[in-house]
Parts: sequence; structure tokens; C-alpha cells
Amino acid sequence: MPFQAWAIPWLGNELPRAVVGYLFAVACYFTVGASLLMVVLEHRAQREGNQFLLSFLQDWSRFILLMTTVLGLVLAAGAWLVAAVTEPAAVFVLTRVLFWVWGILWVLAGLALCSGLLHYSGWGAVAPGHHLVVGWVMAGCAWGSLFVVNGILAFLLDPGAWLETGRLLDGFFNATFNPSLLVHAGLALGIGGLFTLVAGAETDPPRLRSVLVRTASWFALAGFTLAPVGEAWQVAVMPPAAREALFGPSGHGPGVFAIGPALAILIVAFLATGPLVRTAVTPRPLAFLLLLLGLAAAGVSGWSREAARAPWVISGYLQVNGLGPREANAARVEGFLRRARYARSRTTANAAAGEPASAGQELFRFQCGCCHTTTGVRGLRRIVQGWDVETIDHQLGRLEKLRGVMPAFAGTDAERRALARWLASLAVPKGGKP
Amino acid sequence: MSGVPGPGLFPLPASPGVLRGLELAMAVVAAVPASLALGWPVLTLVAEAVGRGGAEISLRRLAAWLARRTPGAVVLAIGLAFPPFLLGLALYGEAVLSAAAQMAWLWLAVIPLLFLGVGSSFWVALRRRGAEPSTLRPFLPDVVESYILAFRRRGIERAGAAVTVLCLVSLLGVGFVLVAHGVLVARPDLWGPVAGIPDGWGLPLRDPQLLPRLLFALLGALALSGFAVAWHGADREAAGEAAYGRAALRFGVVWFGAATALELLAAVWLVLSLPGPVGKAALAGGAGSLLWTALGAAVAAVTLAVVAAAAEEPRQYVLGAAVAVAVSLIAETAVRQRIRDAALAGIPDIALRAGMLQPGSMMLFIVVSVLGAGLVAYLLWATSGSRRAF
Repeated sequence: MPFQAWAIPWLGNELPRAVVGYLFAVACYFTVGASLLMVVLEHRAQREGNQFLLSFLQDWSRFILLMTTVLGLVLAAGAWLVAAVTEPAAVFVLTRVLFWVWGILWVLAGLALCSGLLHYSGWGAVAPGHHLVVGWVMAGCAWGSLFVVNGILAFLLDPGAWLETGRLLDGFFNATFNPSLLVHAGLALGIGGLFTLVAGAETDPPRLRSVLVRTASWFALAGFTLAPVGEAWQVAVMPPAAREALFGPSGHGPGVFAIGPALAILIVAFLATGPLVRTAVTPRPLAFLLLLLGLAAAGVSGWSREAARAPWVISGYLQVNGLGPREANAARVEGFLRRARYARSRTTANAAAGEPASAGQELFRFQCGCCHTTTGVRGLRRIVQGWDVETIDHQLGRLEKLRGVMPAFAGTDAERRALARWLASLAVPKGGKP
Repeated sequence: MSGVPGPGLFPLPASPGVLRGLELAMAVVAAVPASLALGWPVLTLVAEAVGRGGAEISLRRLAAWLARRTPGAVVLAIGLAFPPFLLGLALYGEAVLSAAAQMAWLWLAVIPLLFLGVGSSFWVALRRRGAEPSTLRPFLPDVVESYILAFRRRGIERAGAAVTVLCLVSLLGVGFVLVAHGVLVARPDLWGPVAGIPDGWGLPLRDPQLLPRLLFALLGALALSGFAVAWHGADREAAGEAAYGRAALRFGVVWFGAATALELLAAVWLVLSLPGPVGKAALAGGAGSLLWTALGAAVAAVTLAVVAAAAEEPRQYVLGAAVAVAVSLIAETAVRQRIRDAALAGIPDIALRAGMLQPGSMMLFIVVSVLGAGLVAYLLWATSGSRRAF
């Protein structure tokens, strides 16, 4: 393991990654969905000569531009920056394995960004026909980016034949690709539609409002109908281990997963009985409420996908602790600390002179620190409270069975014992400090 | 799982030579908007201050022009930073990531700094006095929205100047972190196994390279920004806006010339600050001639720019200077690449593993890139062509 390990105190590494990842996903869904909706509306406005609608879209494109650049682009950079210091092994491997795919994604996203800038600056300055073409290029490239991102996420969940053949396309277009695409396309249409619904509700004149509310509602309705269908399909075709991680006794259970489809059904019901039939009287608070529900649905969908993959970054190939199955097996025979280049302690004999850090602490830093803290989020002090060394050692030896979302401990028996001793030392004795 | 090498052994996605070549090309391309993003806010503030003093009304217009274009430069700078970053990760992942862990807090601080930098640049650019009903209203308080919608052609106003300062400070912060990271990467003793458990604050503050590198980057950004303004001035003058064009041209040439002259001094300081073996390895043979090429081209570019400022028809001289700037930038980036390679040469495990060609995805990338370049050319042609006709 040729990387340093650093952890964000108290918060841990997983929560900041999840927050940045979620916000980035929302920005992407918005950009993809709203850009398509905008260009559809622009096409209609040009055909009908609807100046009110064109004027609205000119304003609206500013918001899309700001969301895409200020939020989307910065969070794209942010996602890489956070991952680089919290999950270095995964970042390194993903960079090399998916190098050309990242390149394709960069080209498509860059095209979407450039055409977005040209589209925004071209209102009233570029001939309408050309302006519309620029809009279609923007929307097309944004959807192309979604297609590639979907392939990456599907690959991480189920690399399929890639593990044998080494051909990336074998893993890219696996069984989960199509259902996953349905989920992401649905959420993009849904989030894009709901944001536009918020902007369009209570807009004047009423005829403009009616067009906006109706079109945005149809987008959102289509999106939140497709997304749960894709979720169910994805669960049906995902590898059994992923299903086990999601629904099994050691996983997170079906309850949380069901929240996503339930929210989607709620949104569809609201849209079908509200904005779609009474386009002129859709109050903005209702539109906001629907948007919040949609954002929650997107969050649950992302959470379920990550939960299904646990404890893997690339299923069957790379675990969250930065080790592959072969490395983990080698660590069990030779010792993890001997193989970890950046470990400060090389042996479990902590008392030996010259050992700067305890072996147990180093094992925690490299194997547990990717998801756990000592006293904060997922704090192990709280978890091991009341446990003795034997109990902790017993748990560590069966992590993958007792907690299916965790990787098995990768180290010798002596190392496991050292980690158990160090974890036990975290526990607060009754009425005192540790 | 027999076909794919393990995570720790996964080879490069192409030969090291191809990846280094790509890294050089993309680093050169990325340096342009990154320099503009850092330099233009400075030039905006100075142009606004000088113009407000009454000396040059054209400079207030220039300040507005710069403010309008800064967000595009910032966006392009971030977008174009991805390829060199990815290539650096693929080639030198251990060094890049372990150095980032040593200074993790500052590394993470780049995210809020980018938010401030991008957000404030858009704020200034989109300002327009007199708010009107807008689609932003549902998402923003009125007072915020009125500023975002406010933009005046004749200057950036006090609020705009204040926000430009915020933008500048934020982007300077980002620049500082990235330069410090670059210095740290070249110091394996500070991030390698002997460096100890990272606390996230491991800045190479005592490294003799840090200050000259910071100065070199900042002065380079100002020089390129000044040159872009000079180009704009020559372009406007040729379009018939003689007074404004000439003012912008002179303003740009002054900044370009002064910043380049100081940058050359910083370059000498930087070379002298390199550790002995690194300096020797990096500047021996072909690298030495690259360094002289960079210096010579920079001097030629400044000379041509000064001639342009005095010439009746400045465009041809500015075009010549642009070629010299490009040569200087390419040579300078190649020298920096060699310095880094020399600094990391002694690390046994950083040696690059032979590439595992991924022909399918690489071909797809080439096809998409070619199509993308064609599409960008079409978009620029379509929008600029119809802008004139419409």
C-alpha cells in the first residue's frame, strides 16, 4: 500500500465525501435535466414566436449557468480534492483503470460548459437558429456526460468480465448499465423539471406560467416515474453480493432503500393531481416542497448505490481500505505493517525501541480510518465501550460476516490482536478518562 | 480474477512517453486561463482605480471588459486543470497524493476558495444597475439578486471593486496552495515514509524554492494577463476604436513587459534555489537549451510587444509576440517537468511501470476528442459568424 493515510478529525473521511458527492450529483442532475428542458422550451418559443417565454429563458439560462459553473464545476473539482486526501489508493487506481474514460468525460463536460457559456452570452446576439443549435449541443453533451458517468458507476458496482479480460468495455456495459442509466436519466429529468417548476410557478403572465408549469411538471413526472423503475430493475440484476449488502441482515435493510421509490411516487401523485391539472394556480411553496422531496429521493438513490457496493470501491477488485483481495491475502500471511510503506510501526512488538507509533494505532489509521473515527462520526470508542480485548479480537476476526458492509481484517493474527488491544484502550473506564 | 493486475500493481494506461507528452501539452493549455484568472482581477482593479482618477476614461471601460471576461477565464482554468491533474495522478500518484495528505487542510481549503473565486467573479461580471423580475428570485433574496443582475458598462463601481478584491484573494489562495503542493511533491523527504504521520498542515514554508516559485507563478500570470489585454487593445484598434484600443494596448504592454522582466529575475532565483543534484540533472543537456529557449522567447515577445505599442499597425507585432509567448510557455513548462522528474528520480517505487495499452477506450477518447474539437470550432464559427450578421 504505497500511500499515506490521513483522516479528518471527528467528522471522519466518509461524511465529507458523501456530502460533496451528493451536492455534485444534484448539480449534475440539474444541469442535465434543466438544459434539455430549456432547449425544448426555446424550440417551442421560437416556433410560436413567444417573446415572454424567450425572455424567461434568457433569465433562466443565467441560473443554469451559475448552477453549472459555481456549483457543478467547483464541486467536480471538490470531489476529486476530497477523495485525493481521504481515499488516495482508490483515487490512484480509479485514475489508472478509467484514465481514458475520465478523458472522454472531460471532453463531453467541457463541451457542455463551453456551449453553455456561448448559449448564455448569445441571447439576442446570435441568430435564433444558431442559438438553438448551441443549446442542443449543450444539452446533448450534458446527456453524453451523464451516459459516461453512469457507465463509471455501473462499472464500480459490477466490473463483470473486466476482472478476467482486462477489457474495460466488458465491465463498462454490464448488466446494471441500462437500469442505472434509467435511474440517472429519471433523476436528471425530475430534478431539472422541479427546479424549473419552482422558477415558473407564480410567473406572469398566466399564459407563460401555464406553459412553464405544464412542461416542467411533465419532465418531473416522467423522471420520477422512470427512476423507481430503474431502481427496481437495478436491484434485480445487481450481483448477489451487492443485493446482500443492501438488503441482507448485515446490510442496511430494505427500509431505507424503499424511501426513494416512496418519495418518487409521492412526487408523481402530487404532480398528477396538482400542477398538471391546475397549471395556473401552482403555489411556489408547493413547488419548493416537491423540489425538496426530489432532492431527498436523489440522496436516497445515491446512498443505496453506495451501500450496495460496500465494502468495495470496485466490486471484487478494490476495497475501501485500499486493498485488493490478493493484497489482503498477502497481508494475512506476511503482515500488513511490513507491506504498508508509510506505516510508522513495522512490527507488533510495540515495546521495541525505535517504534514511533503503536502497531494498533497504525493498523487503525490504515484499515479503519477510511470510514471510522475514534471519538466522532462512527466513533470506535463508543462502539467498543464495554468490550474487552477478547471480544474486540473476536469481532475483528469476523468483520466480513458480522458486518457485511465491512472488509475482512487484512493482517496477521498478531496484528489483529494489536489492533484489538489498541481499540480496547480507547474505551472509557467507568467514571474516568481512557 | 486472473486477467487484471492487482490495485497496487496496475500499470499506466499508456506508455510513459505518451502520457508525459499529453501532460506537457495540457499543462501549457491550462496555464493560459489559469494565468488570466489570477492576473485579470489585478488588472481590473488597477484599470478601475486609474480610470476612476480621471486620467483614462478608456481604462474604466477596460475594467468592465476584464470583469465580464474573468468568470470565463476562471471556469476554463478549473476545467482545463483536470487533465494535468489526472495525468499527474496517473504518472506520479504516490507523490501527488502523499504530498496532498501532508497539507490536507490547505488542500481542502481550495474548495471554499474556489467557490468564493468563481462566485465573486460572476457576481462582478453580471452586475447591472436596476433589478428586474428574474428567475433567480425564487432562489435568492432580493438584495442578493439585485447585485447579481446589476452590471454597468462604464466601470465596476465600488461594490464591484470590493468583490473583485475578494475574488483575487480567493484565487491567490488557490494559487498558493497549488504552488506549495508542487514544491512539496518535489521534496520526498517531506512526504515520504520518513516524513511521519501527516497532521494536514505540512507546508514546505522553509523550502528555498517556495518563494521564488510563488513569485514566478504570480508574475507569469500578470505577464500573460497583460499580454491578453494588449491583444484585445490591438484588436479593438483595428476595429476602429482607436482611443480605447490604444489605451488598452499600452496598458497591456506595460504590464506584460514589467511582469516578464521581473519574472526573468524570479526564474534565475528559482534555478539557484534548486537543490544541487536536482538543478544539475534538470538543467543538463537538452533541458539547458530549453531554459535558454524560454528566456530568449520571453525577451523577444516583450520586444515585439513594445514595438507594437509604438507602431501604427500593431496587430502583426502582437501576433509575432503571441508566437514567442507560446514558445516560451512550452519551453518553460518542459523545464518544470524535468525539474520535477529530477527531484523524484531517486525514489525507487515512483519508477513508472510499463504502460498497459487500453486500445479500445484510448481510441474512443481520440475519436471523441477530435469530434469535440470540431464541434467547438463549429460553435465558435456559428456564433461569431451570426453575431456579425444578426
